[in-house]
Amino acid sequence: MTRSAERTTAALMLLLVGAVLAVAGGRALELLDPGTAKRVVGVLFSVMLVVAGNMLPKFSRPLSALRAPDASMAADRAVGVVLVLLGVSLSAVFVFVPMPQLMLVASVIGISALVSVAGMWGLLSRGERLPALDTAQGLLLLLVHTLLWVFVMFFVDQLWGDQAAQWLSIGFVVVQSVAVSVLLRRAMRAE
Amino acid sequence: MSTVFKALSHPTRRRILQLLRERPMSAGELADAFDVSKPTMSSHFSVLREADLIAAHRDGKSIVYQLRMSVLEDALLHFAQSIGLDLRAPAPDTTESLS
Repeated sequence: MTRSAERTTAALMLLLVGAVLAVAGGRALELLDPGTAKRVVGVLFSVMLVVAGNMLPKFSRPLSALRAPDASMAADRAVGVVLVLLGVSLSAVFVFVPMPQLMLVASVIGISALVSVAGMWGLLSRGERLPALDTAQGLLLLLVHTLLWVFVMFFVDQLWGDQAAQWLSIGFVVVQSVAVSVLLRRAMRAE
Repeated sequence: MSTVFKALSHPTRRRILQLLRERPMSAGELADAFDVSKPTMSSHFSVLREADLIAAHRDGKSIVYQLRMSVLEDALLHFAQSIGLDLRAPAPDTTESLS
């Protein structure tokens, strides 16, 4: 089995993360105004969703690792399509929605779609174990989880301000650490 | 990407992908669905594997094929269908070209 798809996806994701950091740097040096920086970062996160959704069905786990391959692969395909559509919709939101409503609209769409995706994935692939951290699917799962928190932080920032969102980032670190350790344990057990 | 277009350009290979969308299947099961020789089927499998559209796993003595298509590749397959390319199993053809 070729690993070129995994390598291309990883390179693309690193490029997108680099672009987000470049925008953050540009904002810190006041080369970009806050509005433009928000729109560009939003589009970059949306593209991450498109890339993750597009590749998710391709990274379905091998048959030997699945209890119900048909259901699990159908779940991966359905979730992939929804993530791609979500990414495209959010890109349009970050480009066209006026600044005062932008973050609220984007975060509501992002949270509701990602929660639906999580529910759909859980329901359709019921009975399957979580993918291990050393698999492309495990890494995509963590990425989608991270993006969900990003949208929750955008939402909280709009309603209760910057400080509440900063507290939430502590919650993200804790939950993400637990998720990483669970997926890592699965990877170590699989070895 | 050119390997993907090449793989999707042949009706037998598109039909194989359609069958695999329903469930993973062994090489024998897939071969039974077509009226072509085993070497020809084997060549189709290798073109699909080269394009990374399917993955093969050994299960005892048989090889089981699993779909490995991205959303974009799936959309391309739908597009190939929608422009009127027939997905029924092609008629027996001994001089079948694989390109």
